[in-house]
Amino acid sequence: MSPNSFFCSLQHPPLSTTTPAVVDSHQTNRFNTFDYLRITWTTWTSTVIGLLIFDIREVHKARRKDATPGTTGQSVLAMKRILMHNENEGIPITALREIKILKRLRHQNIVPLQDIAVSPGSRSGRSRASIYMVFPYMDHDLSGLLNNPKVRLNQPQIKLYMKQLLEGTIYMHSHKIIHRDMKAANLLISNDGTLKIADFGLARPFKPEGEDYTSKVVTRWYRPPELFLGEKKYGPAVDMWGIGCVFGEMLCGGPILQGSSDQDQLDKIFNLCGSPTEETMPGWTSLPGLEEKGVTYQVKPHNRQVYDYFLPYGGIVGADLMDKLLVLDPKKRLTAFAASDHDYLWTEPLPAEIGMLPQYDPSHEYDRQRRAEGQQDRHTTHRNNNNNNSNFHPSQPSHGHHPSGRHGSSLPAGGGGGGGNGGAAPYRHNGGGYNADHDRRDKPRPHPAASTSAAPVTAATSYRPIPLPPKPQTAVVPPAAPPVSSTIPARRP
Amino acid sequence: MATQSENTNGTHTEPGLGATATVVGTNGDANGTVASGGETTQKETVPLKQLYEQSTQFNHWRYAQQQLDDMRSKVNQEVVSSIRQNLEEESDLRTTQGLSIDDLPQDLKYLTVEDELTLLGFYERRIVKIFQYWKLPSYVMATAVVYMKRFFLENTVMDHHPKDVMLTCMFLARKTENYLMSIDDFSKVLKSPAESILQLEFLVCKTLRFHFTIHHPYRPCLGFYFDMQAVTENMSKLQKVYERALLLIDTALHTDLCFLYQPSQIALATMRIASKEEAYDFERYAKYKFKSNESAAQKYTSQLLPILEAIEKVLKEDRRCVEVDKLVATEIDKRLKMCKDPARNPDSLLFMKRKRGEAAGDDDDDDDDGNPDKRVKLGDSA
Repeated sequence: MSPNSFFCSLQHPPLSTTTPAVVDSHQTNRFNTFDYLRITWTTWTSTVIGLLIFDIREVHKARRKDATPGTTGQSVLAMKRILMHNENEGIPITALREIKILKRLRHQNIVPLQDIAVSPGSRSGRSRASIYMVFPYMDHDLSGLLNNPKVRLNQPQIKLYMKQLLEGTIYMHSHKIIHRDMKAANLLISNDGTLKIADFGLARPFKPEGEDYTSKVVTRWYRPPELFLGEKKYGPAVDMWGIGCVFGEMLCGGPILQGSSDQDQLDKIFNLCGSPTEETMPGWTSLPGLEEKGVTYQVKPHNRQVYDYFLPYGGIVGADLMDKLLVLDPKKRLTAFAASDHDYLWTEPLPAEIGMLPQYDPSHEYDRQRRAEGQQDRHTTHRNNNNNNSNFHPSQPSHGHHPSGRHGSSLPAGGGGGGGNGGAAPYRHNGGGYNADHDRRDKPRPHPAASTSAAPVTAATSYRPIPLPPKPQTAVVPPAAPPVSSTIPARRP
Repeated sequence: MATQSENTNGTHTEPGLGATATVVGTNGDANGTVASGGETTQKETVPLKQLYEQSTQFNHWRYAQQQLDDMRSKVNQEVVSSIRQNLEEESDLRTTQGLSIDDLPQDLKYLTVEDELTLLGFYERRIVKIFQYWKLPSYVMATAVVYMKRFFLENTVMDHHPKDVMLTCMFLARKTENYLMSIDDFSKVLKSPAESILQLEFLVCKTLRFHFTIHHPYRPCLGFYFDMQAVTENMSKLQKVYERALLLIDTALHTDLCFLYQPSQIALATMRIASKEEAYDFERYAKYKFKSNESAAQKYTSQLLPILEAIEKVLKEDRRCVEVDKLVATEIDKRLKMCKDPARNPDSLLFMKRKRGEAAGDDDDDDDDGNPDKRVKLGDSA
């Protein structure tokens, strides 16, 4: 399968019909309109500052008109319009929640709400008032980046993104916020490699003691099994499933569980993670269950094969992390803090450093759509990034440090422990275009038990590895909202 | 109450020491006040400030009493002079058209700032009563009250009737504190049209500068209650103290204390007052908590104690702690009806004249800048 057809065949995750339209801002956008809108800047001054608007739908790329030339980096903004789709109820509660949450969260891995802009409707009533949330413009979102044919993520890069994703999530969860729409398209990435969690349109505060929330959240491909089965008392674990899916997506180069319907999605989940039993998912029989078109969902027996499936992509540690994230029982799923403590992020190759990553052309979800439309353009713009990429990968065999990796088998899921490979085949085609790429995969080692011994460093000299800080003795976060800002730097060199 | 967890983290553990030194009256640069002991690494974009000091309440809604007075009297004077001017203009217009000016009010008794506050106090207590009827947690009610207080820092009751604003604030507070009630039910229960509630919502949000998180003293008070159990001998008495303190916090809601002091300071002060009233030994807790060593004890006496006493003074002496007599409120309300700005009365000539002027000039989807009289309306004619 050629890379081209691979990208064209990718479908965007369909929006669940029950998901409010606020959720996906980037998807429906296209850069096709140039327009000028004058918008009042509200927070500190009430002078009118014009904004150059490139788009007329939900997220606008904008520029402050009064910005001094030369400082474009800071003055380019993304403006998310608050959709008044249910105007009878006034400003939607989801938007109020999003503003309230974003104003409270301040973390380098969570998108900062810089301002609120309001454009008062005309007095004649021709246009309605609208509210925009103003964010700094970020070059990519992860989904767009993964679909960009010029972009190849390598292990240090994936680890860097995972590390930041988990740090942001730790912060968010310890502030008692669940995101409820964790997915690659909602992770913004800047050219220096900073990752920020965005789109809190479905987020809400949660109570540890458990309350009933709606189970109709999270985009389908990233939705955890318990939500399909109608669980209403859920917590941060729903985000961790999404993080697992995102991690798998980074490893494999495309979404790992692309269900075409809720039922199909659940099939795919159980196919990969094994069918639920009282042991793997306690209490699942007492959940309302999935009912589609009047037919109750029937579970078919499957064996769990997460580890084997991801072994060729993520190596032993990576597959182990996947195995612990894609857990059916939400109580046994890793927490964000535990995941950030996982060996994957603390063994060679270590996460890359911010600022040492290649620069890419802007790639968003909608850029992919544009690419699909005008493929002939792609070849002409290719030169740009080849330079950068070659700077970035001077030493190609970046996994040479795996002692057995060089002469080990490169068969996916062929070697190593654990049986039950058969069912993994349906997923394999997803990564077809990528699988031949040595850059993206750790080769399986003959014996997984060897993973615990520290790997000698022989390659990856192009990265300045972050020295491994001493792990804290107590790896437990006190559940009741610890002062987060103090726990995170403890792990930072 | 997850929405308030931020509140407790930063405040109740060490209420008097780090934070209070910079609090009273200063409304200045908050970034300068890094709590002692907080290490600030260069890489870290989140300095280890106390969490409360990162809140919008601390950074944007903290005033000195003098500032509050100035703001209120300034807004009041502006509106009074604007109404006066508009009345003159209206009477001029009528004279030129040969219409009677008899129904225009003469010698208006404009509302003073005092009147406004009294009227607001009346409607604040209405909010409390309605929320008691709904049996929601008190912080939801308190949020609605604080929204209204903040709104009327920059607006006067002569522009927006507190009854309308009250309803909008209540509706908004239910939404932001996650106790959503549909607008249909809401307007049915309160027997008010949905349009007027929603119409103000946008303006209220804007005036609040979209700062929806409000920190109340209830949570820190609970924290102190737990904390004091460590050194108490008489649990049932402490329980009484706590309940009394909660009532005092309800009272404090009607004063300006929420603009002046931190929630944890108010909570501690109410615990102290309640302890006095119930003859409970507060000093024992203070000794355990704040006087562990020489310097801490000195800080307590020189910094925290004056704040606690100031809060106590407000709670004892502020006239707004007392229920507003309905007759007084009705009288003010009557005068308020007279003070209606003709520029906002659709029947007045001035209104029509201005509207014609606007219709000619306003074809853009946006209002004119620089005009201080600009008013944003949401969905006005739809």
